[in-house]
Order: sequence, then structure tokens, then C-alpha cells
Amino acid sequence: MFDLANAITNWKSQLNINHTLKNEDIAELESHLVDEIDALQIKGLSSEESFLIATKRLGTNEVLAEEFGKNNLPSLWVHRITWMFLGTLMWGMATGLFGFIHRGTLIALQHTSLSKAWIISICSVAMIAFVAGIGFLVRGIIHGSALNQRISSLKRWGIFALLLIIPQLIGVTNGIMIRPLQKVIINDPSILSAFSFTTFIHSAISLIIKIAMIYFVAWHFSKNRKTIAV
Amino acid sequence: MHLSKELVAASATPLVLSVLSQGDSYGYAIIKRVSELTEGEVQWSDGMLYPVLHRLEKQGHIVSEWKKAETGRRRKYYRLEPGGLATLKEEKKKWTVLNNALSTLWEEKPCLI
Repeated sequence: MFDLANAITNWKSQLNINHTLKNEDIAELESHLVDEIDALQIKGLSSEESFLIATKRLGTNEVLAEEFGKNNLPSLWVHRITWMFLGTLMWGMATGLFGFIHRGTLIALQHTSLSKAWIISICSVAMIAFVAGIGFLVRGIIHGSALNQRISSLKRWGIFALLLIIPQLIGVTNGIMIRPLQKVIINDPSILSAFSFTTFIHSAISLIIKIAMIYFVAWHFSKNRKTIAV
Repeated sequence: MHLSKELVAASATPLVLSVLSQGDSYGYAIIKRVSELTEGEVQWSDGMLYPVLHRLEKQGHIVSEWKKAETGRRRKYYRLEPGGLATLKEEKKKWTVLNNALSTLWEEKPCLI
């Protein structure tokens, strides 16, 4: 059974893809949609048919976001800059954690009786697994774009604060780890070759990610140039 | 008939102001009125009207107010302001000039002999 009220609520929650629509705009569009649905139902259409036709006539989410974006450009940029700032903080956290995993596994494995080849392999696998994990996380966030709308503002500030604090903690931990790493190298200079190998993998992965990000940003901007250069 | 985005954007202001000059109205009714007048030939994407209305409001041509409609739901009504009426007069002049020019051109019969 088609639930009209539920369908309208869903439609509203997916409307604001660009964060360019104010709550008042959404209320106005909803009032229009309901008027149209009423008119279509009087003509004898079912509530589901009326809903589908009314939403189609109103325009796709992309069209609405683009048209409203022309008026509400400041709010669009506040939203973008917030995400740029968040992105920088997250990048700092991810690179910090990446270094932590690299050095951490090396120091931890040094105390085992594993051979150098094993240490290098485990360390590399840990780094790749970490990057893949972050990749899946980002993919999940992008695909579940409704996610950030469901996070309440209180939680959003909590996440924001954590993002400010955690990178500092990781930075301090990484700093502290330099001593044990030096000790490890002094005790067994042959570990240096393993360390330089894993450092090479570390840098290579970082480089690939940076190139991928530049490519993604360039692709994204060329795709959306029309919307941005309003 | 499909109108280009540019033509829709250019004609939206005089159409909206003209509809409002006949009395206060709300988005849905304005669209219905325009589609009635053009006999459904001009198809706007309905949602495109609202940014136009908001821009006209920002420019001071019209004002809006949320009111309770006869259905019991709330609706945002728009009213033409004196500034909007002046703009409408200007628009009228421009469109009359264009209309006259095109009509004259289209009425001229080429001499074939």
C-alpha cells in the first residue's frame, strides 16, 4: 500500500542535495506538491500516480538544487567551506594514523622473531588494509549522502571537536614513537633496510592517493562547472 | 513546444509580474495561470518558478506572506509592490517593441512576381 505522507517526507529529505534550499523553500515546494497531488487526485488518479506526476513536474532534485543555488549562493559556499575545513582535518588525521600504523607495526614486530621479509610484508599489508578501510568509509559516506542529514547538529559539533583533538593526539604519539624507533635501529641496524622499504611503500601510497584526489577534484569541477560559475 | 532555458528566464519576469498585477497569488496558481494562458504549450519545470519569485522579492518588486489557505494548509502568497508595477510597465514596453517587430516581419508577404 502506498503511503503518501511517507513518500512526501522521503521526497523532502532528499531534496536538499546541495544545501542551497532553506527550510522555508522546502515548505513552499511541499505546499506546491500537495496542491498538485490534490488536483490530480480530483481528476481520478491514485495517490501514487499523483505523487509520481507531481514530483516529475516540479523538477528533479538536481534541477531544483541548481536553480535555488543561483539565489542562495552564500549558503552554498558556507556549506562548501565547512566541508573543505573538515576535509583538511580528516586528511591530517588519516595521514597521521597512516604513519602511526607504519611505525607502530615495525616497532611491534621487531620484538618478534619474524624475518625481515615477514616484517616488511605484514607492515605493508597493514598499511594497504588501512587505506582500503578509509576508502570504503569514504565510499560509504559519499553513497549514503543522506547520512550527514541524519546526524543531529549536536553530534555534528561532537564530530567536529573530535576531528580537532584526535589529529593532535596522533601527532604527539607519532612524535613519542621516534625514540623507540631510534632505539630499534641502534639495537639492530639491519632493520633500517626494512624501514626504508616500508617508507618507500608509505610514500608511494600517499603519492597515489594525492594524485587520485587531484584527479577527482579536477573531474568534479569540470563536471559541475556550470553550477559553480553561476 | 519546448522553450529554451534562456527564453523561459527572459519571459518569466513579465509573466509573473503580469499575473500578480491581477491580484495576489501563490506559486502553484501562478504556474496554472501561465499554462492556461499558453494553452499548455509552454512547459516550465514547476520548481523553476520559485527561484524567480524569490529573486523578484529580493529586488523589492514583490512581497511574500505565509497565509492559511481555504484548504487549511499554509501557503506562501505573493503581492505586487509599487516598484514591481514600474518594472512591469518597463517590461511591457520592451516586449511590445519586440512583438511589433516580429509581427511586422511575419506579416510581410514577399512579392513573387
